[in-house]
Amino acid sequence: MLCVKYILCLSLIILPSIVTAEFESKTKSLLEKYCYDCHSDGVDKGNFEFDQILKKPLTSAETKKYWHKIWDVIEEHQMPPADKKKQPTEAEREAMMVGLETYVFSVDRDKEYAAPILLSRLSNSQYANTIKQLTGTRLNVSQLLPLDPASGSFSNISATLNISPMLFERYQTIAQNVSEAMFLKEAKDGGALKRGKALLKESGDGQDNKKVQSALSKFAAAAYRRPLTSKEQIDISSIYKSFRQIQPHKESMMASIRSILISPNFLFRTELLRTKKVENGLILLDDYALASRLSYFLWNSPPDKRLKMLADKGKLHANIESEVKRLMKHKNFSYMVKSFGPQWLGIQYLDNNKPSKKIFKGFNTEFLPKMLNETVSFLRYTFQSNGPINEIFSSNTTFIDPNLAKFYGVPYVGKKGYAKTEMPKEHNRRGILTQPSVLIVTSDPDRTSPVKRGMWILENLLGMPPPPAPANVGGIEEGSEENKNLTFRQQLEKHRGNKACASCHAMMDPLGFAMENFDGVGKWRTTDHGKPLDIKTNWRGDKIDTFDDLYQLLTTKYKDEFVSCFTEKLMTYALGRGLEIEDRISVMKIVKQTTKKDASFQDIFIALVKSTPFQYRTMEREEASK
Amino acid sequence: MRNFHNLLRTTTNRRTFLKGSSATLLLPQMASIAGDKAVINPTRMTFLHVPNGMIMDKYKPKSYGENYEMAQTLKPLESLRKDFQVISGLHNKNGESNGDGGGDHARAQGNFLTAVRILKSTKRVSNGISVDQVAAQAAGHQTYLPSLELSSRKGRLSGACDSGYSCMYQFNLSWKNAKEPLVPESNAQLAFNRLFTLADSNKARAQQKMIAATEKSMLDFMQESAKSLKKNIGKEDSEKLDQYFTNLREMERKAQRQKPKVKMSQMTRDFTNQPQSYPEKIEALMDLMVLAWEVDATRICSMIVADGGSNQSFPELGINGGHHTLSHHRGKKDIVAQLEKIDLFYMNRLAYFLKKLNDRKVNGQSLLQQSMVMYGSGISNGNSHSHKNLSMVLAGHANGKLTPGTHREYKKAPLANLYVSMLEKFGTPVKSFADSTGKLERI
Repeated sequence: MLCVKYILCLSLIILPSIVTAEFESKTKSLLEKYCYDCHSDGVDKGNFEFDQILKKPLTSAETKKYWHKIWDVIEEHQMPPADKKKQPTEAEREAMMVGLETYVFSVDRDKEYAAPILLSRLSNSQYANTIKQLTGTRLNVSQLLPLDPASGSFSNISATLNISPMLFERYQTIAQNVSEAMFLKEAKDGGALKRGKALLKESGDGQDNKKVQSALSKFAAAAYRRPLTSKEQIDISSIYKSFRQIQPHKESMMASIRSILISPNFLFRTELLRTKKVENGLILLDDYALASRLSYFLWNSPPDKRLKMLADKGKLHANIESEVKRLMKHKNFSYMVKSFGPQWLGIQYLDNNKPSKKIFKGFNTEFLPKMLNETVSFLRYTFQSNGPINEIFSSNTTFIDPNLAKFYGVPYVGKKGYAKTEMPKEHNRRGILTQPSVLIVTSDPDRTSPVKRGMWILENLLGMPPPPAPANVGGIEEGSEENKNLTFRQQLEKHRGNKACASCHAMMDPLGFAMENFDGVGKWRTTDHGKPLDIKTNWRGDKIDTFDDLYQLLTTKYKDEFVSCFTEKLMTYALGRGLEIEDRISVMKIVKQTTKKDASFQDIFIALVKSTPFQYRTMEREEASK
Repeated sequence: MRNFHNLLRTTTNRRTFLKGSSATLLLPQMASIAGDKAVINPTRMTFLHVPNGMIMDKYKPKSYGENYEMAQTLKPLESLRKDFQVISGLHNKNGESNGDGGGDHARAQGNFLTAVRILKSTKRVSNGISVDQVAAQAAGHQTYLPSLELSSRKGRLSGACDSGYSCMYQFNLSWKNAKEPLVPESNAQLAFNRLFTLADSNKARAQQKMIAATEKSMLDFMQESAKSLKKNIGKEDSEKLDQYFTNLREMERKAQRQKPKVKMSQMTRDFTNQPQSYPEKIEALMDLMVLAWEVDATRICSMIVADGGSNQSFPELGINGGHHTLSHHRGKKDIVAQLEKIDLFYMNRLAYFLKKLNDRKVNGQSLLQQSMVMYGSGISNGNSHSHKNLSMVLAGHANGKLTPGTHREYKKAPLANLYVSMLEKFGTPVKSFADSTGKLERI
């Protein structure tokens, strides 16, 4: 029931070996059942055999890296491989993981976890938003930046945000261009020039050193998202002085700003704390660090004036709930949705899809970015509304511009841009599953793909991905003579005759069949290849007769799985790090709070911001010993 | 200036760094070059990656030796027959599945220049140092940029790309170490600005002067800030600051030398104009490499001509399907014919590049005479995703160190053996690289 991959924290306490007996009966028995065929008794596929590592004590440091890998492949659903008939149930998977957590990694299930201090480079979009807010420039800095070498589900994962030589060069170029824009008229950048003028005025035109220092310190504090230490104030003052020896005041200010914009304090989010409050062995973030986490989470931007004011007064912790609500209501919340939403749903490269114009009459690839906007607007609306979480699967509301309205065949109800539209009943719009963006990324250019759609639900909504397909399996022979008169579903069922593929396809395909009423560009249909569509199917013991049955299942029986999957994705994004094994305890706590009937998405956001991993960090060794 | 020179002492030098990588470095021999006036031309090298394998029947020559029969796909290179060799039979063992399941395209590109086994995960990344970076870390300090990485398109940001592999593998070719890819530049204009300054630009000159005047104080300031930050953070995070320090040192190194100047007359194309067509995009980046070598802005390059598993379509050749989809041709004749055209398309780009190198003279010799250009794919037969029997085109003479003009077969030799040989010819020899078992004799 897990949705994202957890990274094991290897520095845990070693337990005594009394646990071995329990491990034997509870965990090892399952490993024997599902893994030993290929990894025991002299069989060592992939050069791995259990017998070897079980020779050592469970908690020995040498074997931990193997146990870690085992935990990973179970959690990521990579093992057992897809072509093995014997597959563990989700509950058995969970039991194996908990067993390893308990007996090998000694996880304390009563204690919540927080990560050590993170030094996290601003992601490209955070950097661009920060430069813009700080200097008012209209320069499009994003286009100068090389791609973030991100890995995993989100582009803001701290561990992979390196500073490559090229990126560092670009930081220098941008710092140069932006500082020029602030002080030189020739740059013709009104917004930046205004800030520059104000700064020159504040600095007393260089007549008074104190004023210069205070103006630059103020700018640097905004850039670093925290007040400066006294040493930092002195450093900034002295760098100005060294510039001033060789050039006039304005140019020296310009060079100082340029220096601040390539300082590590600007480029990295640091969370260095001014006050340290220790609770349960963890350090509570101070208000400035919390303000920074909060605004980069909800706005993908640095803290605004109000957050700064609350931090100055030390009142942010006390007002955290109302601040989450305020930030979510603000237009800047769309920065978050734009960044998080498409990555969560895997539609960020919708543009790469090329639905066939010949088959889908009236479709135009120019619709693709519009459809992405539509989904982002829908998500923003769903996250902001205080309605029940289930609305994401039931709402007939969407957001469309005149072009999309024409394509969908509904009247355009707005004045300009994306207008909130209640889709008529016959369109069968039901929330996220029926968004054309989603339906297109889960289709091939010329037809729907029930397999992709089923897989999409399992991976992105339920956190139950099937194991990866075996290498080099044949696809469906489309357009072949024998398949010519079959509906796609019939062709697919024929393909499933292949036993190696059957068990996983039984997980994926029925979910996709239930969505067959939506064609490859998301339009409602009732026939395929001229034949009436057959929706009736059965998934994990539940009958699905119509599309409605599918969304009923997702909003009742599988609601916990959905909320848990969503929470894990959101937490990964909010913290900018892969979740660790101990984070599962916090995730489950949030899920418990928010699966009650009337809970809203906003409740998940609030619970997450209030959670231990978001509010705390661990102590450094020297801090703990003090 | 305060602490300015400490920059060089604060972190590991390149040798201690290399200890942890998959390459074992021997002492570089570059110093002798400066002392010996007869050998003034440095050797340059580049690695060009094309995806999805080839129709091997048409690409790999059927006979061996100097009088080998030119294969159909190699025909565009015919006029340069004496300037390139074909090296066949290479094996990239670590590109194979070996229990890692699907994802051959991620593996084929991910380890194309590293030859190690890449980690299958979307969460974490593990690769090895790439062959070009072994050379760059040993000898890159001699030029303005240690190395240049290019790609014909901007890749993807996040997510899984091929059967559960991180996208980082498919959109990067050069790796500084196991975790840090060198993200390639796909915009010719930005790459141009990164490498050169136009000799006759007043503005650029004034700007450079201004930057130079303030550079030292600025480096001091950045160094101080990073140092006090380092006191307050944990071990894991200090790795990231080490990257920052490395960049500071690089900034300092570059500040001490002039950005290479390019004269208007040397401009073979207007790099400010973004090319529109696909072939032109590739050729613009190739022109840039030629220029970079001509003015000695860098000597080591890599280029993703197209990324692993690329599904590029070629409507101008009458091919509407995507390259990757087509590459699983199941032996169908009409599809194989289309793939032959695509192979030829990329070969024509290589021919364009080699001809440019052949035409350009530096110190009285053509750049082709002075360089090594490796071209190929990490997959031989695209239909079955085979990582065996790879054939590489190795063009150029490496200042006489290579003996081109022939087709050689090295039965099942690791691809890494070719890299060991190339590093030796380049002047940065290593004892071993990744899964190498020696070097390729005679190339």
